[in-house]
This record gives sequence, structure tokens and C-alpha cells, in this order.
Amino acid sequence: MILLDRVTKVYSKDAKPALNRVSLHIEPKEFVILVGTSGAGKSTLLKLLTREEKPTSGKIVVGGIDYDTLKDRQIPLLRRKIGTVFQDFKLLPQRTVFENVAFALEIAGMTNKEIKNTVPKVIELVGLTGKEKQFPHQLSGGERQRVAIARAVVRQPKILIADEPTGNLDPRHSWDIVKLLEKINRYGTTVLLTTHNVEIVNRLKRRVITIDHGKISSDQAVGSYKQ
Amino acid sequence: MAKDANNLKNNRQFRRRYMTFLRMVRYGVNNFSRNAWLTTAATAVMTITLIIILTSYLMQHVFDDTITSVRQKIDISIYLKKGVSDSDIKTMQNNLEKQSNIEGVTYVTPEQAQKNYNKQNKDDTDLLKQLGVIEGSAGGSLLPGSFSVRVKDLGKINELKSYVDKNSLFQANLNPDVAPSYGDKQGAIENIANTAVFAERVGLFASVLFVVISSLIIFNTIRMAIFNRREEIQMMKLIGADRSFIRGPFIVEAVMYGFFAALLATGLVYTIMVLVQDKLSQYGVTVGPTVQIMQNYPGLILLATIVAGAVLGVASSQLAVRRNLKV
Repeated sequence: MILLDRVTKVYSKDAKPALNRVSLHIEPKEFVILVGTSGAGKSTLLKLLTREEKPTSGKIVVGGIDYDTLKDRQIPLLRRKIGTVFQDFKLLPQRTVFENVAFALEIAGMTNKEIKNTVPKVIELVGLTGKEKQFPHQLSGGERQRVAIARAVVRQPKILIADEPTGNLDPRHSWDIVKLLEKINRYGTTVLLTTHNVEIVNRLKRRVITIDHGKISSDQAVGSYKQ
Repeated sequence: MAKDANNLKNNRQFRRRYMTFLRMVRYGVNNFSRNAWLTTAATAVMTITLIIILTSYLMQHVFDDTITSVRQKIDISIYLKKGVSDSDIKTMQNNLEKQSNIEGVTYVTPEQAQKNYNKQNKDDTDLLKQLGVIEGSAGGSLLPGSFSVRVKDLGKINELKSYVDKNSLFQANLNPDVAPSYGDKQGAIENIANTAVFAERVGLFASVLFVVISSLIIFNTIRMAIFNRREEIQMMKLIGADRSFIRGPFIVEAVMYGFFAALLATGLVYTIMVLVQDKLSQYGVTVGPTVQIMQNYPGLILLATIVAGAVLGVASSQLAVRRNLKV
């Protein structure tokens, strides 16, 4: 599902590589946790996957799409195939819960009827039924992250990238979000989660990839994490 | 079969584009109505910008009308001696009107000249009483008949002087006691002509300057408004929105700023023009024809202002959005 082959990313000539010849293979339907200290290279790796950045060298293939052959105008189409969840939610502040989730379908050109059928189901999946008409500022942090997850999965992507989704949440809400990600994974979506939260990593007992100074320092099938 | 499939595909594409267009419009309208503070600020600045643009344009009209009006008031008098025959007067008038620099010629009879004089000095009763006695005893006007001549270009007044000096009919009939007035007023007339040209140029320069400054202000206001929403743009990109889908609502929003600001600006400028019309007229500023134009073509002026506002808004927002669309 995700393949990185000797990928290097250098931001400036004088600086050390943010990623240094990283090779990685993630199978479909896997749940993978990416850990590492700040500046280790996790965010760079995610930015390469969402094509916010281009690699300096190496090969990236996601969902069968070879990034070497990807043209700029095809980038939006690629991003529609990857669900993304961010630490700071990145919701549209002037739009309701329903509109935020529907936005992901509207940009893909789905009809109003399809949107009206699909969105309530996904809102129910993330446990926000009854809050469709509320604006993001009227929701708690955990609820906002649920909206972000709903928006990410409403197009039923094959891959869900969650970049520190629990970073701004208290422990109870954090665990709720992780359980929601597990549920989505059970439906067949490949999940790539980055986190600093030791407790979450150790309780999940999933594949853990540790990045250190731009390199993969460990890759455990059922891993744990020590800060 | 293949043709039908092609038609179906084209229909779907058209419907999808139409749906996307409607969504962009809806998002633009929603942004406009839900970002109250931003909408108010941008519309207010846009209104001021359009007031400056509209006022600059209208002031050029007012200025032109005033200059024309002043020029029309400057006429040259060529005085004739007593007893010139009507046919000679007619011939001289026709000859004058044929001159290229002549706007119009009116013959003022001695009686009319006296009436005008009396009217101008109606408050000086002693003078009029004295004149009335003399006029009554003499049985006619004290003043000579004259041609009142209006020229097109005040700078070419010498052409008229030269013509009158060389024409034998004029030389035979000119009043020997009262010389034509263009000689006395020439300095003043040239000054007015030069000042008019200078003032026109300054006015045009000031208008262009105001328009440039106000355009920069609205550009920066919209740019700051969009800068505040850069994360929103970033998010749209990351979940796969096309550039056109991101730009669309901003275009709609900018057109709405332009529309409402144009309504406000046109209404305010018209009201102010009507209110100051009489006051300015007292100082010799000719506002009437410009107000008349606004009354005759309100739709056209409003449309032009809306277009100006929309163009400014759309250009500003697109430049600002483009900066945030990279990646």
C-alpha cells in the first residue's frame, strides 16, 4: 500500500537530511504507528506521502501511484485518495459539522443526494449524531478531532494518515480517538498514526516504526516505545 | 452507440461543472455572511475606494464643465460707431462667424446695451437717475452697439484682433471712442487659459494618484483578510480541493464586496453631489450637468461602479490567494 525506497529529503544544502535513505513497506489494512522525537523526520515523511514535499531522491509509491510520474494537476486527485487527520484539526471554522464533512465529498464532485446519504452515516460512525449543525468553536477538542476523522474517512480512502491526532487532547479523549482509528482500520483502511504518547503506543500492541535523526532505527511487528 | 456514450459523458461533465459552480457560489455567499467582521471591514474599505474613484471621475466632469462655463463667460466686445446700417452689421457678423476660432457672435444693439447697463447698476439709483435724465433728453442710448464674440481657444485671440484690424468694413465702422475690449483683457484671458490647462492636468494627476492609492489600500485589506484564512486554504489543498475550487468562493466573495460597496458609494456620492450643488454653484463651480448625468444614467453609473469594485476585489483576492496556493 505504501512503499518508500531509499528516500532522502534535504531541505537546504548545509543542513542534515530530514530523511536519510529511508526504505519502508506498509501492507494494505495494516495499522502502523510512527514514533520519534521532535525533529526526527516523522512530519517530513508524512509530507512526502501527501505530496506537500518532494523527495530529494528515492522512490515513493502509494496505492499504486508512483510519485515520480505524478503531475502537479494530479495532486488533488491523489490527496482525495488519502484521508488525513491533523493535530490542530484544520476544520473550516465558518462551516458546520455537516458542511465540514460534506466538503470532502463536494470537492470530489459528488451529488447532493449522495452527500445527504453518506454524511450522516459517517457522523454516526464517529459518534457525533445530533451535532451536525454545530460550528467547530461550539465543540470540545475531542469532538473536533472526530469531525476531522469523519471528513478524512467519508470518501472511504484506502489509507488514513493521522498526524499526532491526540496531541491536543486529554488522555480520555485521546484514547477515544485511538479506538475510533482502530475501528476504521477494522473496516479495511490502512492507518498510519504518528504519536508521542507512550501509553497509547504500548497499549495498542501494533507495528511500531521508530525514526531517529532521519533514519528508521527500529521496526517492530508488535512494538513498544520508550521516550 | 459510441456517440450516445460520448453525449452522456459530456452531459455528466456539464452537470458536474454546473454543480461545482453552484457550490463555489454558495461557499462564497456563506463566507460573506458568516465572516461579519471581515466582510464589514472589506466592504467599508472598498466603499471608500469606490467613492474616491467615482468622485475623481465625476470631479473631472465638474471641472471640465466649470472651465467651459468660465470660458463662455469671457466674451470680446467690438464696439461700432453710431449709424451703421443693418446690412453692414449683418455682413460683419456673418464674416466673424466664418472665422475658425469663433464659437459664436451676438450683436448687442445700443438699446439692449443700455438696458443691460441699467440692470447691472440698478442699485446705484443716483447714477441711473442722472443717466435717465440725459437719456430722456437725448431720446436714445448713450452706449454704442457692439458685437459680443465668444472664441473657442482663448490662446488664439490675436487671430481675431488681426482679422478686425485688416478688414476694411470693420475699420470703417469701428467706434473711434471705444476700442475693442480684447486688447485690455488679453493678459487676464491668457492667464485664465493657462490656469485652466494647468488645473486640468493637476486634477487628472490627482485623480490617478487617488485611484492608485485607494487600489493599494483595498488590495492590502483583502490580502490581510485572506492571510487570516491561509490555514483554511492550506486545509482545502490537503484534502484534495482543486485550485479553481479554492479560488472560486474568494472570487464570489470579492464580487459581493464590490457589489455592496458600489451601491453604498454611488448612493453616497449622488447624495453629496445633490446636497452641495447649490452651495458650489455660488462659487462658480458647475455641478449641475454632472448631477444631470447621474440622474439620466443611474443604472449605467451603478453598473460601472460595481464592475470597478468587482475587478478590484477579484484582482486583489486572486493575487493574495495565489500566494497561499503554492505547494
